[in-house]
Amino acid sequence: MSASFVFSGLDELKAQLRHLPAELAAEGGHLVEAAANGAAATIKGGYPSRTGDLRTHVEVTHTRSRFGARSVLRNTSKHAAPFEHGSQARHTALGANRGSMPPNHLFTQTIIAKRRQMYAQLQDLLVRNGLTVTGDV
Amino acid sequence: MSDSSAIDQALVDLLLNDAPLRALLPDGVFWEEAGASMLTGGNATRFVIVSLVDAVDEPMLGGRAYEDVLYAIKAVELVAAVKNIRAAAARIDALLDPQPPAAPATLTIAGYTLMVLRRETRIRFPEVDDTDPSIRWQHRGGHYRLMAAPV
Repeated sequence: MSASFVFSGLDELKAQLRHLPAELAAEGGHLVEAAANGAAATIKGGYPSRTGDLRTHVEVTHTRSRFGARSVLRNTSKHAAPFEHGSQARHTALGANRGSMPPNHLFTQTIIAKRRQMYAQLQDLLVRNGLTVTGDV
Repeated sequence: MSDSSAIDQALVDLLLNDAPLRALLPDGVFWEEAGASMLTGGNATRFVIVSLVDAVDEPMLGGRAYEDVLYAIKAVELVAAVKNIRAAAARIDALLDPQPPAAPATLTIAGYTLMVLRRETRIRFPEVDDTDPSIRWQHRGGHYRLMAAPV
C-alpha cells in the first residue's frame, strides 16, 4: 500500500466552495495547489536521503475545473508505508540489519498541518469576497 | 487533574485487556515499537502497535475544552501458518468504532470524559524483508480519532 492522501474538507465548507463564483475558483485553486506543493516539499525534506527512494516517489497531481480544484499527494515507494507506519523487517537491500523501526508519521502529520492552513486560507478568501463560512475547521 | 498520557494509557489498556484480541495477537500491545512478547518473553511476532499521529488542544476561556488526538493502531503479524491479521484488525475496529446496531465505544479515561472515538482511514500493507523474501509481515488497522474533555 502506498501512502496517499486526498484533500477534502468539512461539509459546510465544501458546499460553499462548490458554489464559489467561477472567478474565485482560480484563486482558490492556487491555494489548494500551493498547499499540496508545500506539503510535498516539506515531506521530501523530511525523508532520509540514503537512497533517495522515498523522496523521488513523492508525486503531486492537480486537477482544475471551472468551479473547483483538487490536489492529490502520494508516495508510490514501496518503502513509504513501512516508513510512515513502522516496520518489522530486519534487513535492507543495502545489507544493513536495522531491526524494527517505529512509525514516523511525517506524511500524515504534514498533510494535516498543511490542510489546516489551507482551510483557513480558503475561509479567508470566501470572507474577503463577502461570503459567510459556517462550521469550524 | 488531566494528564494527556492517561488517554494513551486508557487506549492501550482497552486493547490489552480484551481477551478475544489477546487470543488473536498473544504477544501484546505496544506503544510505537514492539518489545519482548508479553506471553513468552521471546521475539514478538503477533501484536498490536499504537502510536500518536497528531494531537490538538482545543482552547476555551479559562482552560482546555477538549483534546483531539489521532492514533495509528494496527495489528502486526509475522506471516506463518497461523493467520489472524484479518480477524485481529476487525476486532480492533469492533472495540474502537463499533457500527450500528452495536452501541458506540466506551472508554474509561482517568480525568477525562470520552467524546468521540472513530476510525478515519484504514492501514493495510505487507512488508517483505529485502534480503530474505520469506520473511513477511502483515500490518492492518487504521487511524482512529479520539476526542476527550477534561473533567
